[in-house]
Amino acid sequence: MCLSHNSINDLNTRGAERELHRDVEERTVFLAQVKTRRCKASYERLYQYYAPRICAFLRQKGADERISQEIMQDVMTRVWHKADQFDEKKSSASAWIFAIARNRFIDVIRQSKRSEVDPNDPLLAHREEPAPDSRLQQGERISALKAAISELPGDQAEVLQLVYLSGMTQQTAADRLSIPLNTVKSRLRLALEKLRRRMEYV
Amino acid sequence: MAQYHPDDEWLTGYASGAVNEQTSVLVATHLTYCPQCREEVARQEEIAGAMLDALEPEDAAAEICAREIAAPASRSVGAKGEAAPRGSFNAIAPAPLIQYVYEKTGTTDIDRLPWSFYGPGIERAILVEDKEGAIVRLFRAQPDAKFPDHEHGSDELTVVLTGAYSDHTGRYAVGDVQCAPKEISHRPVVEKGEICIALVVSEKPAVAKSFAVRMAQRILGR
Repeated sequence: MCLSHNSINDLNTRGAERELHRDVEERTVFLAQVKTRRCKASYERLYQYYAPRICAFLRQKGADERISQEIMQDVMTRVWHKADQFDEKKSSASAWIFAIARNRFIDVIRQSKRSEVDPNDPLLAHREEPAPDSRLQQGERISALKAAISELPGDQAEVLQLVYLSGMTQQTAADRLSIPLNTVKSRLRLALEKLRRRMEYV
Repeated sequence: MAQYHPDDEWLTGYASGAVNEQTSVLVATHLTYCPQCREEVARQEEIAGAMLDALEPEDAAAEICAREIAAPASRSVGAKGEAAPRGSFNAIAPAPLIQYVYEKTGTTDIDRLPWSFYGPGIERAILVEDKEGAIVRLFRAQPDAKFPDHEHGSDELTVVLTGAYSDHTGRYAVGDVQCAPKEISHRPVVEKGEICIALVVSEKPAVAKSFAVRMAQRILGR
């Protein structure tokens, strides 16, 4: 059985202390529902939320309106068909969907191939000791991350945008901003260090 | 477990999608051997996902939603390229590299790769050499083999698949990545005991330092 509108409402009205993390967890739950139960209602919610954002992302990378809509439809179709590969313990819905959109852009627009690690590779190495357990719950981590992104100084946020959303190399970002490559590298490093700290600790 | 990792710039480029095809296969090869770098890439994808959430939604997508949501199952996604058959290369290379080598050479049998003489005890197989100057090679070097002292026409990335080699910057074993900037000149020496096979990605061919080696390489085809 799949998530009814009632249970969606239940999700929406969980305790106030969870309020801040609500929508991240909700989307990850929706995607897990698509994965385990082929739930159309959950897919609909994901579509309404992500379709306009994927289009915005592709436009930022330079695709025109028509192409960005075509790629978006392909991305969302993949979300439906490949939901079995989503692992809610490893990533949020947004990170997973970002990766699909990034890869489709590389395939279709850059006509290039992207190599991915095969999670079933016999050569895959694992940590000797499990990752430290001090980590926050996914919803808490994501909302801490979002708060930290919004608090970044403008020059660091700008570099982050060009790198992750526009998909520029650091050299291209430096050229765009008319600043030295090393300045781009140091702004990015500072930003990533801050975000990493906030994702790991309260 | 890998001791030498790609520079931050390459990991970020892999997470953001900015790296080219050959750098992506080299990074994915390293990631197979390196759980720490996999976690770093996953963290950066979370950052990108959070930024995707914060984007101003494109209104134009709204009407498509209404049409498309109805039947996701009626659309299909394109099939992947032909899967690489199992060959002797499978024993020493991670899946993304096996697929890449198969696409470029049509084989996954190590001995059927297009090896040519590079130096005493050293063979090289060129996988890609394109007009833009990208060059992707596998090297197979016998234990104790010494590479000629060379500089690079561009930054050069190496990932080790079997055995190990050393130069003045360190010792590189399975899964390790050496990022050799174009300024450095180095003379890798392969360790005793095991054949060293490595994937090397660069933009232009390395420039051998000594005139004699350069002439020899020119006569031999590079």
